[in-house]
Amino acid sequence: MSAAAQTRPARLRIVVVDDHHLFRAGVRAELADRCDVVGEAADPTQALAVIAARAPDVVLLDVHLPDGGGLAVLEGLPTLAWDGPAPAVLALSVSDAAADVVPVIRAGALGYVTKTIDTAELLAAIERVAAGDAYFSPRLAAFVLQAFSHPEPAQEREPGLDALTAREREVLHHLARGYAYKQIGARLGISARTVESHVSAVLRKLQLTSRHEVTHWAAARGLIAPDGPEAA
Amino acid sequence: MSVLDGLAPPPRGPIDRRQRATGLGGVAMLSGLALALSGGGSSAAAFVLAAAGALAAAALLVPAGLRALNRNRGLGLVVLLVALGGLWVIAGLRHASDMTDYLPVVRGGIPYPSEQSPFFQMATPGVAWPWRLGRISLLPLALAVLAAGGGLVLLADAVRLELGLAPLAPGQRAPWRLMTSRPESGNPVAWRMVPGVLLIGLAALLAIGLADRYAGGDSLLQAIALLGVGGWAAALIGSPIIVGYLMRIDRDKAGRAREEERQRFAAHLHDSVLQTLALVQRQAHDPAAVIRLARRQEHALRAWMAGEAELASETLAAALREIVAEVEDEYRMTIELTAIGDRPLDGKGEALVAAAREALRNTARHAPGAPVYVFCEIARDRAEVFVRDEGPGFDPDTVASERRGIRDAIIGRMAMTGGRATIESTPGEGTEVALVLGPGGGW
Repeated sequence: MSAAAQTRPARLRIVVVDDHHLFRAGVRAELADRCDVVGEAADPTQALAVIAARAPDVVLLDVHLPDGGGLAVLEGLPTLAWDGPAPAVLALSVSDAAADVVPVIRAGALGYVTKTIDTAELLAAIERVAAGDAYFSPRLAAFVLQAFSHPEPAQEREPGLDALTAREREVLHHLARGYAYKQIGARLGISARTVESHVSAVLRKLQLTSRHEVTHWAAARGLIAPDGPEAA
Repeated sequence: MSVLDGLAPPPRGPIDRRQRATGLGGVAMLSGLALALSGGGSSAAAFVLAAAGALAAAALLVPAGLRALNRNRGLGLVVLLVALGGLWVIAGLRHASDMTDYLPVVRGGIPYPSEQSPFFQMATPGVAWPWRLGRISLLPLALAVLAAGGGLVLLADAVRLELGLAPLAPGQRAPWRLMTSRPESGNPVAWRMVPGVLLIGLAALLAIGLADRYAGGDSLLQAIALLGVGGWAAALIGSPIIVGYLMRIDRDKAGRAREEERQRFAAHLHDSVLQTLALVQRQAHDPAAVIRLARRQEHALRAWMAGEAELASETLAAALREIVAEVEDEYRMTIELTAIGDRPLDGKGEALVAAAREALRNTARHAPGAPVYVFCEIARDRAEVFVRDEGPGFDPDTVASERRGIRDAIIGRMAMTGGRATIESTPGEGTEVALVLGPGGGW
């Protein structure tokens, strides 16, 4: 064990949260070569307990869980105390619906992948979110694009979102069409790292506005003082 | 068998504000009534006392009653029954013969108030009391109807239990009690019988006098009145059974609808998912076939869940999903499709879909095995489809003329509808076909 740890010190510690036992077993087997699955959970309560006990690098989180879904886990995470950095969350779902996916991203997940993803791609996504970067699959990029802008009268724009810059829209659009960061950089004449920072900026806008909304909501109901986190 | 057997004394809970006020109101009403019946004191004092009591009780009971009605619609039926009973008695008595020969009597040992008492002055035709309907004085009539109704409600559960109708499960509360007392109050059914019997006695006392006054001597009218009162009482006692019956019918109907939905669901799953699972088991030796089957089933199931199966391909996004599944089947490949927005499918949309299919077929032929992405963005006046592969790519300038698919089926088709198609490819980096219908390009 220690020899393996020395030769490959960067094995990521993963917690898998999914209510399907078969799926957890499958992911464990898939990741065995490159990561350590240090815990599994089938519902939000269990998940928060396992995450607090194991302090993993990455949490693979099913969006559809009993008792509140993946959102309940994301909302519970800030209540846990961390010695090191908080774990990154990668959302997993069979859902194709933007209504299911966008809220978990807004609640703090760094990325979203469908459960049909192949092993190599899943590992790439895990490594990316473990590094603190956003992982936007083409589908997620499309959903986020939709959440941010559609100027269609029939489709209501998500409330409280700052508008995207033209460059951010362009980057998202390319992501939705399946381009990798490097290719997007080449097409737009910017570096892959800049593409990355645009994606992270989009993610921040999604999550920050979401947090602002909550603060606003709480202040409006007298739960907190309007300008501070806590009432005097 | 007595209902009283084995009943523990009721636990004494805290009496809430509402109960106290109602109790005081009732005492005031009864003392007003007693004053009026006894013939002593002034009728005005009796009236004021009774009215104050009635007001105090009504001020709390009416809102509480409305809230209860809101929570439990079954109570509406009860209110209706009471009201109907009252109306029926009033209507019957309106046709009663002239009452001038009425004489108050002492019947069967029941002492009845003298004619000189204010109560009978209220009830006497010709005396100017304000609560009158034609020749009928409403006050004593209303008192009788209310007392009888209240007493019946209190007695109904016990009567039904004694008759063996709708027996209660252990621990279950009798329906009238559920409707008329707070859930935590512990009074057993039998205790409710005491005020019930008292109220019915009062009603009988009043009714005898009234019947004598308005229907005296007319035995047909008396019989009709008795039958009516009996029927009303039976309906009041039986109303929980009626309510229960109506609710059971409702529940059965809902249950049938659920069962039909379940069967429809089961039939669909049988035709689709179970068939596919069977095929997957038979082709377990061929991973490619298994993936293809799973993929096709996934598409079908998603379309069904989105309600598109019933609509056939009446929207642009649904039509795109269909051709993507078709090409996946045809070429045994996997295509990642994302569509945002949607619009009804029209002629131009069909041309767009056909061009997209041609682009996908080209991809399948020239970039076998490479990842393929389809991104489709649909707005009210605009639609864009991007078909992208990470295959070998080509140089569009040197494309051989035998690749007619690109020229005719994609670029030509889009141009004919007023849209446009652009093809971008770099050798070694893949190909992207962009199809656009929109402002200035179709629509």
